[in-house]
Amino acid sequence: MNKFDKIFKHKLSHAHSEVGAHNWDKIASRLDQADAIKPRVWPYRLALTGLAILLLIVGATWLSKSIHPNNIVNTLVNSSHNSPNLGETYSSIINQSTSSSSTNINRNIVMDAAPLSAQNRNSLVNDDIETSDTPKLALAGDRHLKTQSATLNTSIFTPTVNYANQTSEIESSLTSSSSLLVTPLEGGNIDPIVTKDHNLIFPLVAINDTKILKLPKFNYSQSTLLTFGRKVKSKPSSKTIPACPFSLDGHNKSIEFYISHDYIDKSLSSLPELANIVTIRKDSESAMYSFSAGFRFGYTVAPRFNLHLGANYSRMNEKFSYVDPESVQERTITIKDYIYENGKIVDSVVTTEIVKLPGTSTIKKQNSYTSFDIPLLCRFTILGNRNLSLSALAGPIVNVSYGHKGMIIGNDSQPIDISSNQVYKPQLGVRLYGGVSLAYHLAGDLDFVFEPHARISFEDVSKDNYPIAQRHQTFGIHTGLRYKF
Amino acid sequence: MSPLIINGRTEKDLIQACLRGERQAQMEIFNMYASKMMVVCLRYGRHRLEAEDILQDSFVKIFTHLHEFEYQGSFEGWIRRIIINTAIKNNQRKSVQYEEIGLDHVNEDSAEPDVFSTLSEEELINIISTLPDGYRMVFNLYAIEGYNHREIAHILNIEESTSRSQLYKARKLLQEKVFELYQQAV
Repeated sequence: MNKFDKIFKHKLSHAHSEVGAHNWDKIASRLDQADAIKPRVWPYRLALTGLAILLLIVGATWLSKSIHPNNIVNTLVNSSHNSPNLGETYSSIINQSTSSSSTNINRNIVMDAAPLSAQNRNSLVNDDIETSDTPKLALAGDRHLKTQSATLNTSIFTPTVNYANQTSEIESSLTSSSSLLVTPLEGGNIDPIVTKDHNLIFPLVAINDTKILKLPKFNYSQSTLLTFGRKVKSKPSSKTIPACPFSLDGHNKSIEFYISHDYIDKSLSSLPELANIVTIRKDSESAMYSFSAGFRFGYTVAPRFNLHLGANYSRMNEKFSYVDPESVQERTITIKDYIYENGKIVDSVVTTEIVKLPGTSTIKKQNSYTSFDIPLLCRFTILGNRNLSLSALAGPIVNVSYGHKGMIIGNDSQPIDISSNQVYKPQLGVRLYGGVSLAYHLAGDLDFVFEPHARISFEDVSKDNYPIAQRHQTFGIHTGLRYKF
Repeated sequence: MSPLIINGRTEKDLIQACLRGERQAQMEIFNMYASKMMVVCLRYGRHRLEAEDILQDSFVKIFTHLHEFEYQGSFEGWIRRIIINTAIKNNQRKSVQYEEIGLDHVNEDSAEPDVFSTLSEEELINIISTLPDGYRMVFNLYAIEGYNHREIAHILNIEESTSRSQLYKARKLLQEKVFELYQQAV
């Protein structure tokens, strides 16, 4: 920096210049517009994201609860057809299982509403079981158990605090034709047992429910309850698990209608000499609401696997707003001169003049990019129960047509129309779809589907010979209804 | 941060109020800096109308990106940077051609500061405004804002040698204008 520069800097560093009030008016007006646009986008996206997270958490919590052995027992109890008193039920089961030997069971076993505490159970076991030579069945609370414990001639099992021993004893003592279904100790860590004919058995120590229990035979192959849990040791072969937990009764086809709220991640890239055009385009093009909608046919091809084929329509909207800084406006000025004679107007002369004023002009347009695609997706059911299921989807999307209309800034910094195929391709080829689908069983054969997903493009939407490459990646949440038949 | 208090509120209070969307606070911030920043805009613009456009665009950006201000350094400096960036972008939209010239045509030592140091601020701004777009950008960035040629080359996406040649040419033109004014005055 030489003296010349320093003089300029010194003189101008503290200079002020008057600013007209109209400047603030224009700024305030533009800020008002910006404020009006902002809430339309972000709260909407935030709400969608929040809803997605909430649903996933609720779904995961619900599923994790449903696999707890106590829940399974309760489900079975509630779904039993007959409700005879507990004593009869137990006695009949025990009689079945020990029919080959002479069994003598006290039929007056009564359930106690008060759950056993761990301490009580230990004392119970020590006082009533371990000190006794006769095996006793511990089914109820402490008060009744002390006075009304069942006595069996044959050894079904001996309740002790060693759970591993319990389970092995039960397994060895039961016959293959029936089962004894009971609940584990509260807080205990006992795994259920699967007998040779797929009966599920939980070792009994205490039941903390006042309901009359019927303990039906439980078989994987006949149950409507799927076993998606770590606690089950022996799972049946995967062939017995259907593809969709909601299609157990022979439904292997489905149709699904959906609408998706999309967020488009648009990228623009170019050679360095066109970097300023890319900047102008980023400034002039802003995202608006985008969506897609369509339908899919589904078919169960293998356990847990479904294939989906359908049609998808997508529309990406954006706002084009450009201020041309070098716009020349033409103004017509009309001047009328009057000719007076003795104070009266006798004639007039009209002069018209066209004046060119340098200024700015604003161009606003709504751009839309529409595509029609055929998705071919494979869905794998990860886990589920009678109300919810979680699946993963992936597969190609074949683009049939790609349309576009509106305006963008061209390579010469001037707005150009994009309706023709000079900038964008008429077809986009194949893209990849991936998503996670959460389905909720509404009623009958109808499910509600909630599916966060991504559509990944490996090719640009702009033509290969166009110097500014444009690519879209789509992220969305689709909601829809699935009907099974 | 300046301890300046306006209508009972500090600059930080005003910024916080702006972040809450208070239009009155935004107007106070605008009134506080507009006249000073207008000089910056006038230096980069070709005429007052263009300078006003730059000023308006800049303040809209300032208020919509105010949450990005991290209170590190002066608020005025942050505003000035946004104004300069906006002016540069505005200039790039016009696809300015940066002409590269040989430096042997320029006599850098011909300047005589005493001749034009008596000129008013307004006259100096007017002289700068008469420079071609490319010269004006480089001169402003180098002489007034203090960027070096490498930084200017990066900002304007030009070669360093182009930045140097534009600066020398700008100086020569400015000197000629100053002498013209001086001779008219004498």
